[in-house]
Amino acid sequence: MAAEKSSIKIITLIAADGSVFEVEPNIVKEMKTVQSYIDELDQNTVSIPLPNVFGNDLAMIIEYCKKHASEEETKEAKEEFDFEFVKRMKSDDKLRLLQAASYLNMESFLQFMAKAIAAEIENQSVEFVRDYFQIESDFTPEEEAELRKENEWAFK
Amino acid sequence: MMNSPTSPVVLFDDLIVEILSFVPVKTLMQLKCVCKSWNTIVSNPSFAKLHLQRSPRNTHLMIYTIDCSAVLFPLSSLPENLLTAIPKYPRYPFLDMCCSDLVGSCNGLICLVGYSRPYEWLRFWNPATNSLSDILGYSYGYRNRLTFGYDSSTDTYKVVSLSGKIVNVFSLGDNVWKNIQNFPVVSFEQCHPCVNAGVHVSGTINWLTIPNMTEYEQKDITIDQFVIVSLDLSTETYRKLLPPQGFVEVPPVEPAVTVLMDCLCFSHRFNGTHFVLWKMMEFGVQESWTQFLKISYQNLHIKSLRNYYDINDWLKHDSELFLFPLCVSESNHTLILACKQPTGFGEIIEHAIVYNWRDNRVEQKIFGDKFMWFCAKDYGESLISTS
Repeated sequence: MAAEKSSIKIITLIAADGSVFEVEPNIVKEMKTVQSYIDELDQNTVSIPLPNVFGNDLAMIIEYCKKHASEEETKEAKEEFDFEFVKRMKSDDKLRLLQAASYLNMESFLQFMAKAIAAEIENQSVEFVRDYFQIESDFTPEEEAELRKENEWAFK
Repeated sequence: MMNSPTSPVVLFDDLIVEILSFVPVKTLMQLKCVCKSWNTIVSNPSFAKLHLQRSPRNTHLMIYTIDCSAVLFPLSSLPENLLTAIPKYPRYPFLDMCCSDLVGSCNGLICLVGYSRPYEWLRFWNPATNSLSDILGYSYGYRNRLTFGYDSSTDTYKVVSLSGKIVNVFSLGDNVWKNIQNFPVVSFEQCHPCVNAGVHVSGTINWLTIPNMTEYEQKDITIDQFVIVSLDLSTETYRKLLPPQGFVEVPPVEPAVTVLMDCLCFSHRFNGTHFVLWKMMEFGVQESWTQFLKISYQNLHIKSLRNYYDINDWLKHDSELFLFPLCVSESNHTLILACKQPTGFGEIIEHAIVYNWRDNRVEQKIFGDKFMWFCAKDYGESLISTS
């Protein structure tokens, strides 16, 4: 069994927009959705369509996985990378990457993105957060006023 | 249909839960107003547990003042002069909550006790969500040595009282006091009511005991008499744990059993020269006792206030100076200790020492007669409900 799996040399991932990525098996280990697909196959090369992930996003995820799978990189270098990785992203990128992480079933990357988004909304107003997540309030003005009054101290 | 990179991203609730589980409590209390589903998520008890699991623990120290108030301050950014900074931190008068004493802190909940002799009651308070339970466990008589803990097997917060050999347990939820099996040994008179009064770790309450001794007398105690009695909150049974093997001489003042970094700790004076702190890396595993710190009294800047004594000679026999570890900030390499010291004029002064073990240096000593340092508790925010 193990010998057969290790015979897979290259995995081809095809993003929603048709862009193609060739990666080594150790890079996709964290992507459980992809890994379980590979585990069911008995081939030397596999090609996997990912219709829910865009090319740009997939490129970033692969870059992240490569950095974190590397044994040569120090813990500090990885932390530095994580910091820069999040810094260059726009809010929408973060939300899309979180969705992709969920679709690909990547536990630690999902938590990493969730933390990055949490840091952005920390200490922000209700209005900012609604705008950020494109949420329309479904409270009546009276209900909202009541709830704000109950938690008045938290708004100080 | 899926989003194109330019269309807005709409997340399902399971991903909103993931994000909110990393958001601090105060922001969450505001974000309940975002929409109905967010209000439902934040108010859900299982979300509170997930959030607790992902929150940094013991980020604050709660100190207790002589005018019955609590002051909360963060450990991550201790100001250079904590004493002058204390008035700037939030202060909570217990009398406003009809209580007078701090029992303990567990998972973001604070347990308080109030008295109107001969009656006594408990209240549970979450400072982060600004919620306070009703007056509970109203009872006749005085309960001794109260400890607050959590039994994860039944998801129940419990308060344990030990008076002599009588042990009673209060469960939040049932809201009644219940008598359980007697304590296996007679407990000794502590040097301070907040020292060796029982500590909570991993669903157990632990007390240092010296069988057959009711008072701490160095000359009458042998080293093998020291035993830690541990009460399992789920089975309500006792077991005995031994102090570290490296604890080999009976010190002139009692050792202390405490909890730091979520581990059971044991600290004692050694040879009149050092203060030694042990940590039980894995709870209940005798072999896992590890020496965490050994600090010389010189490095702690402790000198005899009756200055005609040689320090080591003094500490070999002195039974008044007492050091009690309160909390640790691992990221800052600091340990905060409460210290009780005789002045030489028949007075005892209490103060706190902030010690940096990486630099082997006392960062500050905090004097002032307003704070009861020995009763301080470490605390971390949570959404856990008070009922």
